[in-house]
Formats: sequence, structure tokens, C-alpha cells
Amino acid sequence: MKNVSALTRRELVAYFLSPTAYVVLMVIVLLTGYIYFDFLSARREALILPVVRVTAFMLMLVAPLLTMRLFADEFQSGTIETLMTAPVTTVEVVLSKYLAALFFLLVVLVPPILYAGILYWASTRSGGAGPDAGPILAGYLGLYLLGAYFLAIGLVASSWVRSQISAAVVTVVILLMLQIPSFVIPEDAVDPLSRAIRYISYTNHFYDVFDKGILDTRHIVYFLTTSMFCVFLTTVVVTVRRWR
Amino acid sequence: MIEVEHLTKRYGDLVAVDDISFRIEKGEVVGFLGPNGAGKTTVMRILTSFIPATSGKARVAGFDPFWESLQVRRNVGYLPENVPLYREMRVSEYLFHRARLKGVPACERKRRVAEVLDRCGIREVEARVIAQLSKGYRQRVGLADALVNDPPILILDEPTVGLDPNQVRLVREMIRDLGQRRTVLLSTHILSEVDMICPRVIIISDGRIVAEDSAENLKRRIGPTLEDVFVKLTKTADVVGHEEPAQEGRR
Repeated sequence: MKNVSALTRRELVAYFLSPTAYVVLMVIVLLTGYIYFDFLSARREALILPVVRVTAFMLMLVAPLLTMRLFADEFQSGTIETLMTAPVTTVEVVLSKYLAALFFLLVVLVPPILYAGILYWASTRSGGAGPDAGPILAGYLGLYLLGAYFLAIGLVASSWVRSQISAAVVTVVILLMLQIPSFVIPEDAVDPLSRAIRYISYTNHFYDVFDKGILDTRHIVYFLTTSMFCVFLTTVVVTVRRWR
Repeated sequence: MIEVEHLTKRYGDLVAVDDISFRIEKGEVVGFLGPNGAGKTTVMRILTSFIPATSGKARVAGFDPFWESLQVRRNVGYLPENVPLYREMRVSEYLFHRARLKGVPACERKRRVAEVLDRCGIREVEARVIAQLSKGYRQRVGLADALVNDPPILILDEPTVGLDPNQVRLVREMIRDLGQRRTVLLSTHILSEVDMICPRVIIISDGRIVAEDSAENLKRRIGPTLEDVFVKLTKTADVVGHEEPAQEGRR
């Protein structure tokens, strides 16, 4: 595992040298900032929930942009050959790429976190007790878990397809399809199969849970295990693609 | 240093490498010749443990490229065909990254990178972004990468392709120089090059070895120039079949 830091460093360099990263950051700031401002000024509601919800929606579009390059670019440009003939294991490579994406996700979530900080500052300055910290913290933890899960799916897609563009498109399609079960299967379904299919859908594990301020280990476990499974799957795909 | 026994690689129905065997001793510089699609790159990819063989055995520096791939990779400097590089990085940044990846200790990295920068003649572009470099410079950055951890074995896939005559001469002299202490396997189309730097030549065609001998012997036996040798051997392989020249090569 000693190569992970070297590999992660190189992935982070690649992130901050590409225009995609800055476009993503700007779009996040503009849209979440607009929602925040709109609720605050027009509706006179000092709420973080709308910010969390709009960020969750945007992550679905942002995650593919952050992951599409990871493996698709290595395969497309042939650098996978220099990478995999260096003394590093496939697991190290996959983990490093995922870690770099997770780190960048932290950066992406800085603006939405700042809004909560501003709210707190404004409230205490005028003598208030500040907003309720519980739901805010749970909301951001949920956002991070959700983002990590999206990135893991993007990672698999990136290792699977030939070009960066198709990696991004495939990721968005998968993420949209994963929403379907929560719409078509009613919440009170009793037969095990329907419940299992509904369980796959990530929407049930985020909306009305984390954004309501509930920290439920079942949902935390859902995001962690599915992300880990995707990382494992990526390792398999990268190995198989090389072996064919 | 490199032993290959009955190595075969199939891509579906296509047989890319068909039961080839050869040995390269320590300190040898061997030229790997053959027409496009003959299987040179495939053999090199198997030896560098990038892809597994379908059957057969190989040992590189005493290790199996499939089962002991990390040890093999530590001992081999590999320059792939077309020299894939991270285009957004700067030259010295890239070489530092590769040195770190290849386990060059932190205290030696600076010295090693400086050494390969000088040796490959890329000192003047060390601060440039790789995407902006010409083909010749990129080729030499790839070569510097292969050398950065000072490996005992070098596997170079067409190291002089895309270089101008001056650079070809520079790289050729460098390889000859490197061959003093290292084992080198290089593939090329440029026959004059092989004549000058490789005491021994392996010619493959359609995935089989059609000749394996010193350039001198081949010229004496088959044709006045290495080009004649190449054309004759790889052509008969296409038209007549592989058996006869293959046996001749293996005697």
C-alpha cells in the first residue's frame, strides 16, 4: 500500500490541472448559492435543507464529471501500460484514484458548508442561538456519503468503457436508473423481492433520512458497502481488461 | 536474464504469438525484428507482465511475469510503443512521480532524475508541459522514465521511431552505452540500427521466430544486407509457410 500516496498525489495533480475541476466548482457555487440566497432573501427562510437537497441533485451531474477521466483516459491514451508495468498493484491504483476523487469531493462540498457557517454567524451575531446543528451536520455527512457512492459508480463506469464521454453518460444513466425502484415500488411493499429491489435505490437512503437530520446506521452501511463493492468491481474490470 | 519457452498468446481466434522460445543472457543487446503485426509488441507486453500469455513459460530476471509480476516490474525498464505519457504534467514532475512509483528512495530521487535528464538530453525541457513537446522529446522522456530506477533489464519497443537522424544517432549511442551493463531487448523496423547496436537478432513473423543469430551470420547465410535477410525471411513465412525457416532459426 506504500504506493497509494504517490498515486493519489498524481491523481490530485491531474484534477487541479484540468479545467473540469474549476467548471464543476463554479457551477456548484453558482447554483447552491442562488438557492441559498433565494430562500434567505425572497422567502425569508433561513434554511439549509434546500441547499442540501439541491447539492444532492447536483452531485448526480458532478460525480460523472469527476470520475470519467480516472480510468477511461488511461485506457484511451495508453498510459495504463506504463502505469501497470510499474511495480504497483491494481488494488493500489484503484484505491488511489478513488481516494483522490473523495478528496476532491471534500473541496466540492466546501461552498455548501460555508453557507451553514454564514447562517450560524449571522444568527449568533444578532443574539440568536444559531441554527440547529444536528440536521445540518447529518445533512452534510449524508451528502458526502451520497457523493462517495456516486463517485464509486462513476469509477466502475470509467474502467468499463472506452472514452471519457461515454463514461460520464453511462454514469448518469446508471444513477438515474437507480432512482426508478423508489418510484415504482410503494414504500409499504411487503414481498421480499420488491423490498430488495427498492433497497437498491439510493434515494430511499438519502432523502427524508440524512436531509431530515436522522443518522441511521442502516443507511450509512448501505452507502459504505455499495461504494466498497464498486471499488472491488473496478479492480476486477481493470484486471480483466488487461488480461483479454 | 530473459528466458522464453513455448510462449503462445491468442486473442480469441487470432494467434498473435505462436509457440516461441528464446534466451537472452545477461549483458546482451538483442534486436527484435519483424513486420508490423508480427507479435513483437505482444511478446514485450508479456515479458513486462502487462498482459498474461495464453500458454508457455517466461522468466525475466529469474521471476515469472505472471506470478511474480511485481518483482519483474521492479527489474525491468519498459518503453512502450507510442510512448504513452501524462500530457498535463511537466517533464521533471513526471519523472519524479515515476521514480517515486518505482521505489527510488527519496534521498536518491533528485540525483536519479537529474542523471536521466542529462543522459537523455532533455535537461532543456525539464520545466515544459509534456503535451507541448515534440515527438522526439517525448520519446526521450519515455526513455528517461524507463531508466529512472536504473533497472538491470531494458525492454524498448521501437525506441527510435519518430526521431530525426541526429536524435536517432544519440539514442543509438545511448543504447549501446547502456548495453555495457544491462540486458536490452529492443524492437525496431530500422535495420541499419540493428546492424549497428545489436550483436544478436531475433526475427519473428506471424508470431513465430524465423531466424535467431548474429547479424553477421544472417547476412552471410541469407543475403548481402540485413534488409535482404528481413525481406526473404518474412516473405517466405507468408508464402511458403513457417516450418523451414523456423527450424533454421532454432538449430
